[in-house]
Amino acid sequence: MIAVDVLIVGAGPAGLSAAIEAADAGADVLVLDENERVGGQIYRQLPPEITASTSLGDQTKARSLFQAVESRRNIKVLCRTTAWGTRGPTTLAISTDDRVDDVNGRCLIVCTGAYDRPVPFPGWTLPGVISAGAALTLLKGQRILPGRNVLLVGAGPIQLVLATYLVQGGAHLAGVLEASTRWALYRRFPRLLGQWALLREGVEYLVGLRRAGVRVRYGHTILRAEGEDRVRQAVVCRVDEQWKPVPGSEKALEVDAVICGFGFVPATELTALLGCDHQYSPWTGGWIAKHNRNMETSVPNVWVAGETTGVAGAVVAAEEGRLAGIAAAHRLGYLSESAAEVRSRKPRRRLAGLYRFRRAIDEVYRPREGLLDLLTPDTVVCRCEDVTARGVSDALVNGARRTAEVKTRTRAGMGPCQGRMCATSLAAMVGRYCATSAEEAGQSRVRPPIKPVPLSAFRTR
Amino acid sequence: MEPDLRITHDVQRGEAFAMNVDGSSLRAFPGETVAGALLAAGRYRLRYTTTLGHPRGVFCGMGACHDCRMTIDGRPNQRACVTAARPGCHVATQVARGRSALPQ
Repeated sequence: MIAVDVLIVGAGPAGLSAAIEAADAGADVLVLDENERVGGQIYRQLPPEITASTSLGDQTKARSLFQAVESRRNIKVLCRTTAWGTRGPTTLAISTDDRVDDVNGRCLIVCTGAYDRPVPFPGWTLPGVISAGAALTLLKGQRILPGRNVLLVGAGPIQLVLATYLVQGGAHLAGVLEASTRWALYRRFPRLLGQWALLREGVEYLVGLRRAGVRVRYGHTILRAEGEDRVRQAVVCRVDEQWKPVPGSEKALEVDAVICGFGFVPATELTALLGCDHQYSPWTGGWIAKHNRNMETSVPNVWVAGETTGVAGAVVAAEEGRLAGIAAAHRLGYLSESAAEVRSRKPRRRLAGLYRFRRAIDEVYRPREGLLDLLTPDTVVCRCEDVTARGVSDALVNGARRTAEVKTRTRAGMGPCQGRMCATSLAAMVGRYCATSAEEAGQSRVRPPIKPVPLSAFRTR
Repeated sequence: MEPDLRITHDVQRGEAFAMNVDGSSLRAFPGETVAGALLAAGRYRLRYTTTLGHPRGVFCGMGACHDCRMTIDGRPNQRACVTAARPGCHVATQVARGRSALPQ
């Protein structure tokens, strides 16, 4: 068993910022991450074996964060390490390179991030149809294009980032389809003013793409992807304000890859396993762990920060991480009440403005109900267990009223991804059928191990 | 010429090596994942599902969705997107849940 003052899960901007604050106050910090290197998804780095003279996006923030972590001797980072279970209120079961261990932190900060919101449509399981996160990982981490002739579908600013990287990498864009309407964005534009740095970033992406001859088509999305053993063609269409396909507007495009980016879902498996109370927050992606203004959850000595507590981007994640790190250091007696308060002031002030900006962005791009109209009876909803929309409908007709009941009847959510790729769609389908909300449909249950661990890892040595 | 989706402009890679994929040789570079090397060569299909027998490939790309499960060096259900490509490694398209050799 490893024991530390502050245990942090996730080495993205939230986890690393929390580590720096707690370490600066004097705490011994251990950061776990399942990847080869720190950075999380947003600050993903190339491996040392691949070098590039131009970076994708601005790397200055990432570099200064990494340097700050490296220069502090009381921060240890354990990569290739998965937290897959709990052993106590703040004790985790972990595995590193197929070896299991337990690790206890007197304080625990969960910064597990988010994953792509799965949006099922006919053909979304075809090879060549990938998530925005996967495309970014390939581009940032290996400089590999997902295809030569790529269609981008989805909603949100991430599309502009991806389109820019793809153009830089030499891909041809068959289209960039934004499901939100232009009007939805313009109407909220005044509320975006004030966060000039973020706004400028967005405008720069748009201008760059326009120069490259790429136009974003608002109020459009994908209807289906077609092909035998990989995607060859995509049928796209216009959508209304609720993202419902407009009949008669279909158009076929030849493509060799489709990238889907409909926003992100907070990864709450670990906080659920720890017994934290959760609440439904449709604006920021779905279920999130409840927390106070210092980011502490309902379980004492467990904090959350970053996307896992509502998808809001790297800047917000870092500020939330700071708050959690400061609060944990205070709990352990490394900071007095007043010192903690003084250090928290700046992050709190920044967050207030950022949350306002984010709320406006979320109002523009939050997933609308019309996405459910993309489903046909044969559309696979649960990718792991091959459960189709028809299978889910049958369960609903036969009396299932909650996500957990659909899971029991159909096996949807019982596969190796543990519902990460279907729980949000199931909740939406239950919500529509029962004329309630996705919130009423309930959270999908999680069980350890929340990430797979081979049995051989338990061999005693 | 086989398709190559690697970005080469301004990018330096190490010495290429060969992996064995379903019995034939496939080129990979140090630092790449199994899924990355396969995708770069235009090999999108990585497995067939258990119930419907549908082809699947990389989807989430970060180890969450488990759709890229392949049999790598005899071990089934390895996520190709988070498994490093190694010289001489044996990669096989996985059908259903895959099979592993019994331990000796």
